[in-house]
Amino acid sequence: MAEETEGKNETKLPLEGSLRKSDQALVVKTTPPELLETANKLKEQGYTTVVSLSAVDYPKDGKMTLIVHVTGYELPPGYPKMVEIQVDLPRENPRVPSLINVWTSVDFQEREAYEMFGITFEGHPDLRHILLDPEEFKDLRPLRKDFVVKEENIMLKENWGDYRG
Amino acid sequence: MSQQSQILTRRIDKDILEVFIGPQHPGSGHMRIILRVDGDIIVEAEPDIGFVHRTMEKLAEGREWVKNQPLFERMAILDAANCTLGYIMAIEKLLGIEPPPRAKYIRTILAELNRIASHLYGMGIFAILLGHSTMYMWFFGDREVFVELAERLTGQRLTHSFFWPGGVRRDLPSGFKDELEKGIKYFEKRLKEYEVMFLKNPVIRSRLEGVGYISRQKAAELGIVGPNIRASGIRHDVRIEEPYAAYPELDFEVPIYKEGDALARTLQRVDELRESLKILKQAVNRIPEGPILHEKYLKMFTKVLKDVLETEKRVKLAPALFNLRPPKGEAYARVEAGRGEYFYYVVSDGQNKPYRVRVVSPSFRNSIVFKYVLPGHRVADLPAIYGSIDYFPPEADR
Repeated sequence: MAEETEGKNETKLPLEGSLRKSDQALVVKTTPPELLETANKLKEQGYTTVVSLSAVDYPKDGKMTLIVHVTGYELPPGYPKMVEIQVDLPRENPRVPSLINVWTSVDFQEREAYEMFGITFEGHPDLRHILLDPEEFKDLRPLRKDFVVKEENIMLKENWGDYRG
Repeated sequence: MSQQSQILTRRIDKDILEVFIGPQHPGSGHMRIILRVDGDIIVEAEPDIGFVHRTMEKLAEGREWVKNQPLFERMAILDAANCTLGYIMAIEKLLGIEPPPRAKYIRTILAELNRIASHLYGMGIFAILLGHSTMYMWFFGDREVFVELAERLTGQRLTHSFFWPGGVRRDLPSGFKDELEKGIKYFEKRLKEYEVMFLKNPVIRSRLEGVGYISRQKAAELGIVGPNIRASGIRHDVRIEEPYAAYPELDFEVPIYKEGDALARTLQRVDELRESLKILKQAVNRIPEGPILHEKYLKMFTKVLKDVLETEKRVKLAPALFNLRPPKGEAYARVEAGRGEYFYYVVSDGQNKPYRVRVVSPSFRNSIVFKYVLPGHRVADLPAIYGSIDYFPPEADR
């Protein structure tokens, strides 16, 4: 989104990416087939834990971006504290390999991204709804931009008296 | 009777019994753990969360930037300052501003008051789960001291909505320092009484020692946060790793324990209470003079707003602050709250409402413990493990 604010990777982490000026996170862009390779490389460098796994929906660009934030507890000096992996996915039937064999900590977060955005994580052993009701939200993906929250005007509802019978 | 009222049954494996615990308040909120037990040994545990889910990330996309603060507070109202500070810091990163030094110190004071209140709440629930109702009363009673202090500072007991991008809403009230020191003195005395009554109590010890063990490696693998990971021997604290507010200027330690069991997690929280008192004492003595809001916004103030700020020492709500339009871009921010690390990731498209807000709460990250740690324990140990994790369902469900 904001290419002009990005700088070069001046950290010691040997990975292609760009350092974001606003928060000093290292942004690494990758593709679904290369995601596991990138993840394994990061884990070898000491990034042991996933902080967040989620997505951002861009219906105007016809894409969805999977965003994974990883960190480690004993990173060598000069390494960025937070690495952000970005994977662009199509909005129709988005599929990526599951990261659960690399980082166990993504277990519930992948389930959340599945129910909220409809991203299928191939290889996740237990991919089902976690926070939402599986029947009511079977085909609904609440965090996608085309899901509009219906607002109800409680105080001035039309035919309000009818509800009371 | 209609056909629907019939209860459906199904066969499960011989000798294995399925037990549903919850969702009616097994601890401090609505959640359910589905256990499969062989005798009284847990074979499989499945945390079923989401009973108090509000889809805050979606709701946040429909409100102005600062109006999301009262929303995010509802994740953990007993830790309201810590759980919204990350959001405000993320906005500040997008705007490229830093609050003035005095505001940073006030933020630190409120954050530590909240941390103490949050730990005491968690331990109170823990005590009643263990059947120790005296300590439940004591923890909740002593928590009142810090809730009242937060009220003196912000005007609210729990949902403070106290931060602005670039500052805080009120200056320290007169006489706050004396009241805080009085509260600290009282609480230091109480900490000694906790040891006799709770921490060195042989009944409590035998219920906690060696129960719910999480090794150092497993803690890192599961990505648990807060006092839970520190009790497993990993010195992970955002206040040290990515210092914010006035923490880099204050002198405090991050205690750790190597044992990784329920007892270590309890002792860990008590040690952290001591460190929080230390931070509060320093912060209230070292607080510098100066403005409490960034000069960029002070410039926009009308005469009436300036008068209120000078005479009443509070920031009257200015339209300029409500119509914030952070420049296009993304930023993350994280904060060490009572239960662990809060993570915020915000995306702005230059409008007065966020394009996307991602929030990961510590309890959500800790909930994974139930799945991976409970198997192999006795059902009777469940309350001790559940309580020692300090799991708070509204925070996990968001």
